[in-house]
Amino acid sequence: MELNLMAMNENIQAIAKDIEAKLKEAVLITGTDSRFATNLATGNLKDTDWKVALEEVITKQEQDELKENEAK
Amino acid sequence: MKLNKLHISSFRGATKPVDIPFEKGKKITMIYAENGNGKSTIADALICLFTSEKGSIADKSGTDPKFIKSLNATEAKIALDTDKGIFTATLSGTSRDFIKSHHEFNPDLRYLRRSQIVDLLNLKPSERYERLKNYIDVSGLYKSEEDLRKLVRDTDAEVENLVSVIENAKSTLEATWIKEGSPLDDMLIWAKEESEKDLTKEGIKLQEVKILSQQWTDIQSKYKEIQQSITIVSTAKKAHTAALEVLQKLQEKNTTSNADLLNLLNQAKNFIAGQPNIDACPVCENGIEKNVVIKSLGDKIASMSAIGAAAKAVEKAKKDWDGKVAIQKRAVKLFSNLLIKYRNDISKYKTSVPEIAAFIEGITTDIKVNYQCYLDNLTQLTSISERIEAAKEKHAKSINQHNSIKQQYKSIIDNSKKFEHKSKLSLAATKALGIVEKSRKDFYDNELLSISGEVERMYQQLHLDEGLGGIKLFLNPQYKTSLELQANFHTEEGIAPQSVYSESHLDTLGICIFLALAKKYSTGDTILVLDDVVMSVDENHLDRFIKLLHEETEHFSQIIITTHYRPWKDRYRTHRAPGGKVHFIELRKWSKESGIRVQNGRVELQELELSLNDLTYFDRQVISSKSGIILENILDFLSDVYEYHLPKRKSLKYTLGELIDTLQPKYLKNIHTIHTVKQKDETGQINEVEITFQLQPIVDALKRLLFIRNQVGAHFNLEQDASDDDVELFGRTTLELGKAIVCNETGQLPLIKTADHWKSKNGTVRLYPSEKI
Repeated sequence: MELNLMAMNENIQAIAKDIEAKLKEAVLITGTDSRFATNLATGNLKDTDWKVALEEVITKQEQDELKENEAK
Repeated sequence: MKLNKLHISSFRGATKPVDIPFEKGKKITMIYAENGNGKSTIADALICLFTSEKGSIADKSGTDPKFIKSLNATEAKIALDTDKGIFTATLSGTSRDFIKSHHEFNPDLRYLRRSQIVDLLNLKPSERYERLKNYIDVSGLYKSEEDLRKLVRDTDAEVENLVSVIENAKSTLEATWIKEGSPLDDMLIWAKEESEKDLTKEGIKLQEVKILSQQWTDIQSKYKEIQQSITIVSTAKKAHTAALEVLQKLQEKNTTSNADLLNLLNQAKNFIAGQPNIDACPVCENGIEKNVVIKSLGDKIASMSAIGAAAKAVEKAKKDWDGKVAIQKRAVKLFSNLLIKYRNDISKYKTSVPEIAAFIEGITTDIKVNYQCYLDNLTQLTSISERIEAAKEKHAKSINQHNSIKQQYKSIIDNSKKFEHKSKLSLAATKALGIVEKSRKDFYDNELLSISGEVERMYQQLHLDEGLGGIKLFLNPQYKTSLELQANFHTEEGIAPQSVYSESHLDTLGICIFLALAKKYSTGDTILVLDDVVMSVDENHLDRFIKLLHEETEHFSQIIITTHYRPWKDRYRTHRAPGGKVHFIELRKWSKESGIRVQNGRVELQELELSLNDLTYFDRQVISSKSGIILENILDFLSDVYEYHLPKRKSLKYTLGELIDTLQPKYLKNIHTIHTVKQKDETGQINEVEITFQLQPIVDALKRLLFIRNQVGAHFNLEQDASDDDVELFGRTTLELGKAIVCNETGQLPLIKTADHWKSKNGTVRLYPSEKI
């Protein structure tokens, strides 16, 4: 019983896209990386890539806070 | 994808090249053969062509893959001709891997062998997962998830480390703060203020006292050097005096000595020594003794050389003494300069430190005066130097403490910011991990739920109202790679089916799981190979299984069935299953010399028609015999449909006469079939028309000819009354009855009951009425 790679890949891609949407909804990533879902599905999202993706949001939030504080 | 022809040569049982044709428009190909005639060779050829596996040969331990090629063959070749091109695979020489043709389109092939069904159900859950993981495997996604998990771990460790660093800095700072008397009541406010203090002046002061300290160290060092030089000069002076005394003593002994005399004496000594016979002085001619004269001259010369050496020693000692004196003078000069400089730098403290006033005022440009001034003020200078050292230590300590506070405070502030950032990252990564993990698990659950649902649907179709089902495939939540299989058995729910289900029930369950998986991941172009999967299924279940398989054909481009199970083949052959939708192939007896031998299979009516239309040889017996069998089949079907009365008998086997007698005229007059056929009209347009067949005249004709079956087709008989015309009429009337009832398109009897009639699967043949009237 061999794997139908094409059908399976489509499945994994679909989950990866779903995960990406959930992460965006939870404001954990910005979704600016167009390869995020593909890399996630293919096992190419390394810990450093996760860090960059998650820190993008955190850094932006920190900068916004800083600006807000400066405005006060 | 549509298959045209499979060519196999020198591959396993195909010792001679063999072609397996695929009939156009028929999505099911049934290859029937008894065991050992090449079924698995055909299935394995397709597996080798479209997958990386080697087929059934891999199922058996100890098998040698070199036998993939036929005995003594050098090259095995497989070629499948399709509407998408010809796909080939070649195995040459000692290679164990096929070289395959490359195509943009690569067909998907799923295969199932009986051994796999048994394995799938009997394996441990973890092994079952391994076997099916390709269907639910999301290893790429899982790898990314693991990297995210690593980030969570690393970030948590960093956060923990930052907490430790901050705590250490706070602890160090607190110790200083407490030591300082806990000023400002808040350590961090104090530390901030301390960090911001300008210590430039403190630094300058430190620098000043450091210079004074160094100057004092240099003065002391130079003074020590002078003290040492005094001893050295004294020693050198003594050495000179001693050398002089030695010279004077030598000179006193040799008052007349000079260099010309020394030279003359050397010449005289050499002359006398060079004369072999001399006994008188060459000057005064007095008698001499040669050896005595030479010895005397030698002593004189030696005495004069010692004076020279002593003079040189005196000169050397003087030079050495002078050198030492010069060094001493330079040291004293430098010492004086150091004192002057020290005096200049320390002068500013004259008022605040009055005891150094005498030194400041006593230092002049005179070396000796300065030297003496130093000695005179040494006590005061030593005292002031101690105060300088104390001041240096105090300023250094103050600056070091400031730097330490600054460093610890900076560490607390910087690392607190990092801690805040890393904590946010940790929280975000943990949340993200939760989302990824849940999505993956949900995927598994949904996939398995969907597959379970489909398996359950198929299984219920096969085993309706049998107390079986409730099939559930799920991942054991405790183990990531453990695929559990549960089912119901009458009143018991959620049990392992292999512990209570019969072998045939497990067979069908395994097939349903395979079909559900194959269907779920089918591309539409998927070729399905079922290699001898059905062993022993009873009549009812076989009918349901065939129905299920035909219903699933739309999801696959081709279903290839190999079987040695004769009842399955006979269901098609005798029009009890939609044989018109199936392409039959039978394999004849295999031998090494002839290889696999293919013969196209036919349904019964086709066989009879061929015998009737054979112009070369009219076989009375075959026609009579086949007609009899077909009639038995059709009459058996009609007696079942209309529930005609038959004699009570244990064996349920009835003669042709008994069966035909059930068709009494009162019933027959009401029985007819209507065929919906497509016909071209005069304009060439295709229209559907209905043709009605009354069964009574056909059956009446057959009743008159029925004796032919026994007389010609069944027994040895030398006195046959039936002519060839009678036999042909019997055959053609039987064929007429068959064609009136069997669907021409599906090849199946009208087995589906409706309110007022029975119909074939596609509805083109309708048998009226639905019940006996």
